[in-house]
Amino acid sequence: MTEKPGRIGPVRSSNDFGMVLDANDREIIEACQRGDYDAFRALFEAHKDRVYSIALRYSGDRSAAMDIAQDTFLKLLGSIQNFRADASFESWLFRIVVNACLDHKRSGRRLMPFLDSLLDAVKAPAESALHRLLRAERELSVQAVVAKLPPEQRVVVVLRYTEGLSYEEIAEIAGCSVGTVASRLNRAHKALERRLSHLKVRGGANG
Amino acid sequence: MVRQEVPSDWMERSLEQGLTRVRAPEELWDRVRSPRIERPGVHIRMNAARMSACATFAVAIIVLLWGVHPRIAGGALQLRSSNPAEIRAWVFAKTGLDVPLHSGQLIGASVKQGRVEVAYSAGAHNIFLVVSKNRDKNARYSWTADGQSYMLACAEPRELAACLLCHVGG
Repeated sequence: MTEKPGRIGPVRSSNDFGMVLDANDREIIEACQRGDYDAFRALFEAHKDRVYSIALRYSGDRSAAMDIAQDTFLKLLGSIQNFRADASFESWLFRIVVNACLDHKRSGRRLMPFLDSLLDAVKAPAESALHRLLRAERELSVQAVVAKLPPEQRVVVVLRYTEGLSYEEIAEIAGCSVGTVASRLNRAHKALERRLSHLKVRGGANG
Repeated sequence: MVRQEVPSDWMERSLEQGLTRVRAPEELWDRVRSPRIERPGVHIRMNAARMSACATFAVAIIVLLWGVHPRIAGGALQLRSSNPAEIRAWVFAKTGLDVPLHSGQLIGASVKQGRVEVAYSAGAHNIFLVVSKNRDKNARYSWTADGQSYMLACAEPRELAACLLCHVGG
C-alpha cells in the first residue's frame, strides 16, 4: 500500500500523552502567552535540541533541519495563544515539528554532509580512530536509508528512535491509530532490514 | 490488540545510534529571533531555473522577431518608410544630399553626424546604405557617384553581397 504524505490532523486527545506540564513549565507558557520575551527564550532553550533532532533525523540535512526548526519555533510563537493549559505541551510541540517536517520541500539529496560527520567522529574522545570512523559510516548508512523512507514512515521512525516515544504517543502526535503506527513501523523495519543488511554482516551496532 | 513487531536487536541498536538526539546549533536562536524568510539553498536553484527559462524565452522571442519580422529590429530609425520617393525627399530636406533609391526592402532612414543611413531589411539582418560627402577609404564596400560617397554596412558582411548586385555602379 502506498502512503500519501500529508499534514497530520488535529491531536485527538492530549491528557493521556504522559508528559504533563509541571508548574514551572505552565508558568513559562503563560508568560509566553503574555508576550514575555525571556519566557519564550526559556521555552526555546528547553526544547531546541528535541526539535532540531527530529528535524535533522527527518530531513538528513543540517540546513533543512535549521529551516524546519526555525519554522517550528515561529509557528509555536504564532499560535501559543491558542494552547490550552490542560493539554500536553510536548504533544502539541511535536505535532508542530512533524507538520513542519512534512511541509518542508525536498531539495536535493537529504544526506548528512559526509565530511562533517567524519570530522565529528574523529573529534569524539575515548574510541579508536578506526572504530570512530566505522561508527560514523554506519550512522551515515542508517541516516541515508531512513531518508529514503516515505515521509509518514520516516516520521514514526524518527519519533520512535530519536525521541523514544511509545506507539501510543506517536499515534497521538500523528493523529492516527496505534495500529497505523504499528503498520508503518513494521513496513519501515522491513525496508530498513533489507537495506541495512550489510551492517548485520559486519557485526551490527557493536563496532 | 495491536501486534507490535519487535525489530532485530542489531537493527534497533543501529537505528538508536544512527538517529540519536543531537544538540541544536547555537545560531538557531538567531534564526528564530531574526527569521530568514529566504532559503538561499532552495531559492537560488529555483531562481536559476527560472532565469534560465526566461533567458531562453527572451532569446527565442528576439530570434523570432529578428528573423521573421526584421523590420522591427530597426527601431532607432528616424524615418520609417518603405517608399523610396518619401525617403529621398526626407534625406534631401535634412542634409541636401540627393540619394536615388531602388524600391525593395526599404524600411527607413536616419541622419547621424551629417551622414545618411538608409536601412534595408535583408534576410536575418538589416543593411545600411551610408551616404555622405566624404568617403571612408577604409570601408570595404564603398563607392562614389555624383560627388557623394556610398558605403554598405551590416553586422554580417556576407549579407552585403546581395546588395552589391543592385548597387554596383550606383
